[in-house]
Amino acid sequence: MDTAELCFLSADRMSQLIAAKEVSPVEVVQAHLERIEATEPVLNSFITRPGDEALEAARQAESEIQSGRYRGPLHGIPVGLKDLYYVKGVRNTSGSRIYDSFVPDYDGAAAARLKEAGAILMGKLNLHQFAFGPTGLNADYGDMHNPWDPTRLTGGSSGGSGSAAAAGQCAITLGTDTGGSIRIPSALCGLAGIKPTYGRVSRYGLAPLSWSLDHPGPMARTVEDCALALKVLAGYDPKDPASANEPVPDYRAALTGDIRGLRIGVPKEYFEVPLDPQVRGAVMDALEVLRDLGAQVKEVSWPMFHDSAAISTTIIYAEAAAHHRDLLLSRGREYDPSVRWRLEVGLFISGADYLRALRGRAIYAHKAKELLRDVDLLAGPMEPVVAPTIGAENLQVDGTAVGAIGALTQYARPFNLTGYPALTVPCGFSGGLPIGLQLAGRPFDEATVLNAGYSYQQATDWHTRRPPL
Amino acid sequence: MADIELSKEAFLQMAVLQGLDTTDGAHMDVLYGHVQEIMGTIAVLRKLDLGDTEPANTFSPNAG
Repeated sequence: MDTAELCFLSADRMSQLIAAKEVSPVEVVQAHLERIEATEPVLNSFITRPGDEALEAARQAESEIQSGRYRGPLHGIPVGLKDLYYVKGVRNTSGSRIYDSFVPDYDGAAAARLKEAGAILMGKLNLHQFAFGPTGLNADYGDMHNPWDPTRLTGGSSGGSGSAAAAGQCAITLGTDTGGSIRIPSALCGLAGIKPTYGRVSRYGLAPLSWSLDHPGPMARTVEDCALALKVLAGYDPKDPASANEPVPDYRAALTGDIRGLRIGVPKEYFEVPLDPQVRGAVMDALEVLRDLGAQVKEVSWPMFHDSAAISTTIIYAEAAAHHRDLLLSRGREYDPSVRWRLEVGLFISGADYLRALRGRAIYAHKAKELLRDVDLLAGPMEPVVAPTIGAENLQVDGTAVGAIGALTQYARPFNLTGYPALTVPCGFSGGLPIGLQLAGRPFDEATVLNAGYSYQQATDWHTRRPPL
Repeated sequence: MADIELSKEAFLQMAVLQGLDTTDGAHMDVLYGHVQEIMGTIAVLRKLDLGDTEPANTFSPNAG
């Protein structure tokens, strides 16, 4: 099989070929290493590229499979980790030169679970410094570039995870999502990406940004691949105090493609903020597809949607400042200036206002819970625009000037506040750049969210397109 | 935007109390602008009707 063909197979298909011994993990990993070599000068997806250890792990996987010890669908599959996930013996920079030589001496929960599943860890992926920004810019390790148009942002903070999966450098990548950092780059790079329920995936061994809002999760070209990865990553972990002891279903098996009778609500407030007409049109078309598949799609109202910015900004800034304070005071000049001031701003938020935000969050989550009694899912745009040009701080959206950071996070942050699962899938293109559809559901009901996304992907072919790189 | 007034003098005093290095005047000017912005955000937060709702937090006596 042609190298590029191999790199653009879904992990689901790749695993079938590996299990049937039609393709070996060594072939798969070598193909991805070649793909990285060819595309990395343009994309800059990696901070630490995979080395000999990836091929060594592939040889071991091959040996195990040949001797009948097949571990499951991630065995031999190349997976890239955002450079916040601790992997024993591999440096973890968090996107800052301050940590350029920090090497964890243990595996975080995600790395441990992936290794146990036989996945091949493919280096560490670039990110917005300390995961504190939605654009995918990084002053220390270079900006990330969108495979659909390298002059455009990947989105962030998991920008390298977005470009690597979209360009076939990895089959699956992991991101983290505090205010949209899985879903924003997934949407802008044309991927499926799921922020699971808070507590569903352990944060152990993950450099934090905002303790109460950080969500680890997978990104991939198809919903099936997100389902495969989530099954491995999810589950109770006593090492994470927020970990939830909830049963983990077989997410891949839950992808029936049948969404007849599923009740989908579309908050009218989503359309009261600046939204590009082409994006709006693509999302409306996607809702029509879901309706054709048998879902009951109706308008709902979520007035508190508009309060998410004030509540989430206060929480993120305060928690991030609390985490970074000592380092910020001693080495503030070594931070990216745009990250530095955001962290310093957090020091000016009082304890009373932080608690006020947490009280607002409780009401916000309660209102969302009420909303999800009448419907099974909420659907709408993931981003108000396609990927903006690198360096754009302000955007023109349908004739209105908006700040890039606020616009890119506006549809994402409500589900960080509620902690509810939210998935984005590509639902169209504008000017050659992908558009994302967001589907969000009830806590710990990732299966329904994923199945809706899967059904949509079965009925459309947006996810099968490849970037021109 | 903000209805929480924070003078430059008060901002600098708070910055010193937080331990920030205030010797870089250009940086402090930029930071002052951003702090005024967050005060606008907090003004919105303070207008929310929270009733007697308790804060959502993750503390659990069983943790640890």
